[in-house]
Amino acid sequence: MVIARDKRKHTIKIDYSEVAFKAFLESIKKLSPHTLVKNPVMFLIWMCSFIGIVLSIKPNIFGPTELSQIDNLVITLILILTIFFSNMAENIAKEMGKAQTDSLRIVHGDVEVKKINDDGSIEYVFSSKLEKGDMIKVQEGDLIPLDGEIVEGIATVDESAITGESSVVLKEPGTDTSTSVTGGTRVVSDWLLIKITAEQGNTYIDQMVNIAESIERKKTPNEISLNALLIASTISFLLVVTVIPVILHYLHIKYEYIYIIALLSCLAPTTIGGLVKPITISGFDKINAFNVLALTEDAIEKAGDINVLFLDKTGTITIGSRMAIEFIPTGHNSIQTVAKSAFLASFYDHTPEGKSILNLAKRYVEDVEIKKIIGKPIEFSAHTRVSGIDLENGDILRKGASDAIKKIVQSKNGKIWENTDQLVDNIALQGGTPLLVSKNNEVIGIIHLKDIIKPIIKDKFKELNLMGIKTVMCTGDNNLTAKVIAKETGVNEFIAQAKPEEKINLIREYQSKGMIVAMSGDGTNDAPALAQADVALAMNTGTVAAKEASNMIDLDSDPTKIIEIVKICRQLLMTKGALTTFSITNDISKYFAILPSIFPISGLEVLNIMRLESSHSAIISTLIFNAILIPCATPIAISGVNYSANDPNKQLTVNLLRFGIGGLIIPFLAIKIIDLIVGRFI
Amino acid sequence: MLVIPSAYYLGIFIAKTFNEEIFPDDIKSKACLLFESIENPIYKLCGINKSQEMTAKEYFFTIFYTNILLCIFSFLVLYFQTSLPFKGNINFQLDIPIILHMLSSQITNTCQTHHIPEQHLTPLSNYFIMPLLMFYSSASGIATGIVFMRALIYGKIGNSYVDVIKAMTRILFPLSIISSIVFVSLGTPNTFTSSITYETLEKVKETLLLGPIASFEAIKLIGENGLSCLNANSAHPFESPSYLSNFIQVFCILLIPTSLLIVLGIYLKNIKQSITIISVLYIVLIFEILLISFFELKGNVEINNIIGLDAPNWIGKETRFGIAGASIFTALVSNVSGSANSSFDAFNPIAIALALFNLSNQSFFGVQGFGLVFTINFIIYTAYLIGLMLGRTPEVFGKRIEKKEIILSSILILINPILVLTSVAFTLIMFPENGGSTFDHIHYYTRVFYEFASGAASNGSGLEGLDDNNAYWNLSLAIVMFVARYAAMSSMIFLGASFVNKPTMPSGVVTLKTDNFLFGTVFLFFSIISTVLTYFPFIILGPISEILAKN
Repeated sequence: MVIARDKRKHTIKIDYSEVAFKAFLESIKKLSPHTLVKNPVMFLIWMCSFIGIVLSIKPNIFGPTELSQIDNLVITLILILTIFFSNMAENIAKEMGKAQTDSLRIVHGDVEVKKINDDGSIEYVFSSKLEKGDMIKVQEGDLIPLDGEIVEGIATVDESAITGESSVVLKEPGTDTSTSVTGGTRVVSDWLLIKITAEQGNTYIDQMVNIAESIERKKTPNEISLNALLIASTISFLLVVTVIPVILHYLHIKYEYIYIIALLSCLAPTTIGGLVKPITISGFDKINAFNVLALTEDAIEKAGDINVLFLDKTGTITIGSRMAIEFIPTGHNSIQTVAKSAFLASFYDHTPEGKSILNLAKRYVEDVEIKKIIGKPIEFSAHTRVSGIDLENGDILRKGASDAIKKIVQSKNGKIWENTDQLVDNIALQGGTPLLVSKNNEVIGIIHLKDIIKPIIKDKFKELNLMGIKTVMCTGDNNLTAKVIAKETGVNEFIAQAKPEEKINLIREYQSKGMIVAMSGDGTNDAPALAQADVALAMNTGTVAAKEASNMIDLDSDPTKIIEIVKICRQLLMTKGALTTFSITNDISKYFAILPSIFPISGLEVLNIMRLESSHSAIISTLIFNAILIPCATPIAISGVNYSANDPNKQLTVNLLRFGIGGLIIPFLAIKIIDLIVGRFI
Repeated sequence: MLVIPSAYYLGIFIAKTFNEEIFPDDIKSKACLLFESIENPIYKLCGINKSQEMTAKEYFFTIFYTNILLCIFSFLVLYFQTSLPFKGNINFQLDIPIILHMLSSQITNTCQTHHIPEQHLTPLSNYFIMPLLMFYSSASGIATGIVFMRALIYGKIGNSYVDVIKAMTRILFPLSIISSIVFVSLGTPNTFTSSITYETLEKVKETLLLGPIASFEAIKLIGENGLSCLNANSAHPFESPSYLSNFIQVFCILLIPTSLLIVLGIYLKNIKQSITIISVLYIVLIFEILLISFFELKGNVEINNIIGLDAPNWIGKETRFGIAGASIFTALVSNVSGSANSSFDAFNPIAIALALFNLSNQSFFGVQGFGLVFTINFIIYTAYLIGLMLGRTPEVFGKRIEKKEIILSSILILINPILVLTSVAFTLIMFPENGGSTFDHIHYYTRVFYEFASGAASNGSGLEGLDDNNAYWNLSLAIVMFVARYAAMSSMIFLGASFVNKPTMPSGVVTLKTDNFLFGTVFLFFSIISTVLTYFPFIILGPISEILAKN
């Protein structure tokens, strides 16, 4: 997938002028009321503009007025502009998102492949250009771009992306199970001629991208509660604005209907009401841009709430494979003997662990003539948990998990030296994995395999802790090994020798304490725990079962990305909170601008602290301010407020000052400036 | 500011009273046994199962139905008061609207007074039925506050009968007895002789009405009811004879609301929470007192010209800096806390504007129990907005705030403006003229506004000057008070109950702290702003334009 990611940088270019144009057309279309009904605040503004239109046609329809048709029309147009801006913000966010997911769809699996033309010539094309029935040639190291059928050749294929098993599979034509290849798998050795059988846009990733796209249309739980709050405040303003004319009428104070309408549209929380949707959409986009597909809408919000993160040790905390770092002989055996036996036993072992044993052994034994190694390799199986070789000279060499080797040796009444157990424990105490090496019926030594801890993981865990997220490591290792690794990496808690049900139980326990649990995993055995977790991030290289149990899929298979996801999700809510606060505090200043204009009570000029030109220009200025606030705040909505994980409470104070106090002061300045300009024309 | 230490101890006592299981050591204390010996027969008599847990619905409806039952009983007594014993020398047949108003007013803890107690009510009604209703409504209010906190913090509802009875036997009765003793010692009469007749210096025979005024006074203030057995309320020399008694009245009014806030801190095991909120509320209170005192003392020449005083003119030349100050203090505090004991018409419009603000907000101490819930409701609202800015699903006291909570808490905030504004609009359209002492459109509007605001806020103070003892006023206010009270009570109980099954989040790095200076400030700001945004235009049209008109 690295290839795909590097390609991205070159291939993604969002055409902003096209985005803007499409958004513009959509925004005009969406001015119709039935699309606005879903957004209560904007629907209210729409109703206001409707009354505005009526007043523009017949200004005195509700009673005598001093305003002309033009005056009413100007106000109505500003109201329509407000709705337009809100639509525009939503559509820009949507179009940008679409451009992004489209590119995601194209880029993933979009690699250069060797296409065989009918005349037999080879042509380099991008896999996105492939069609069903095309023939391609894949060689060692190539990614198989799409599902297909083998026509010719024999090759070993790494299918871990589909099965999760790290062993490679032999593929050849003519057999039942191994003639078909799956998109996303990789050729490990040799070559294949493949006939493409899947249609473009119908691969697994495509299906996931489709799900990710479709969920943007649903509302998230926090969006629903925020909407409830906005509706409540809209109701209260609607009430206020309905009762004001009654009282003005009673007090024999003259007033203009359109001004009352203007008051309502200024008070309604248009800034946040118009931007809720764009904020959500762009949050989803940002997650997509991180090569993560969110499959349910609440996964995104819950990600911001995560308290505990369960991580698999292998592949997350440590690099996937272990390395041999030491040979320890037992009994009278020399280190050279052990090294040589280990070398021979691992000769046909193509796993990274086996290779690391070979590398280490080469330091001790130089005299092995590779060509002379003739024997029957015994492959590793999950059942026996040993591998090795039966040499032609009769030597039987085995290496494997300590209890498995011991069992074999004991069953043959072989020799196990006294200090073996102690040495095994010692390695475990250091956080390593001991492998026993046996020659014929004797345990001759131990290979010390060590987990290689990823270099950045410690910092990542520190960052998670700063964000208030506790880390839990799940590992199949024994308690001692797990403890050492936990200490080295700074993980807060661990479960050793974890069985799937133990993981689930621990997740449940945290959930019962009200915590939100995230889990990242890739294996089929992780699937039940992933299904139990609130936020489940599956690696794209993981098994289908794991992916199906998850609500997010990481296309780059980098589990520490959860940090970025949490950041994006928190930023999403913060932006909503900030703009809501801004909208609310704004109203205070708007009251000062509008009320003196609506209530022509002598003496009320005291409230006109901005010294606005006239009633009419005050109203128009406030409405213009209200309308242009939406495009002004759209960049904030789309890019989100600044987020730093370091000090949440300091961040809160800063945001409160910026959006709370800012929300109070900015309108005063802005309305005054607009008034100075507008005043000249009226 | 003696209130705070006393409230602290009372708070601990209340906390223990209503949540015995969290303080297991105290279950067998002597006081507790004493109270139980009083309560147990009551439970037995009424067939109440002490340990029965109720659902939110049951809790609300048991309180609601017992309140209604009590009203029906009281209605019968009041309607037939002239035919019942202990009628004294009162021979006044009450009509149905006034009885309904009285009942609605008492049972909702509003105690708006449209009748003249010493002339319209027989001693039986005045000294038995009224206090009964006052006690019961006050206890219902406390129970609502308690059940709200219990549900929010402990996730339990409890039993409404037990809560109401405990509120009466353990809090209201003992406190009322203590304070009535204090009032008697300060010179408030407490007797069952209903009147004495004496000759004035001018040799005119006058009748001076008496009664168990001190006892009445105690429950009026402790229970924040504000109903008096004398029309002039606390301004009557018999009710509050001296400067000192004024302060004691203030003390009584603030005692229970403050201690309920202490209970909040005790339940949360975080007394800092109480301190934060109490400081905010007291700062508002002190600020308002200073503001009003400033305007009152500055403008008292004008005030003497203001019409429609029906309370004794307490701004006498000689004593104005003494008594006037005290009276302002008392009056304002009573208004803030939702208990009325003075006529507000005499005040500067600034004071009226502030009073309207307090009535609309309801969270600055507010009515018994209810004020607490309004305060916590604003805490929830504030926590929601700030919590969003922390980037997590907002929490309050470790419980997530979700759609249901936002809807219920919005309803709670909307009840008041919906009722007040629609009824004001309706009244102005239907009854544009009212034969008050002097007629002025703006002031009439202010009075109408105030009357409904005070009714809906279960406050009960009035600007008077309204000819309000007629069928329309009695019935409309009875409805407004009734709907406001029970709509609020049910949304409070259901809001609390919606938190019941939510797990309590352990606090972490990214948990909103609701007990620090920052939160206090924002809480103050948001609770003010939410009221201002709804009521500002109406306050401008009323009291503020009165000020402007005078300048």
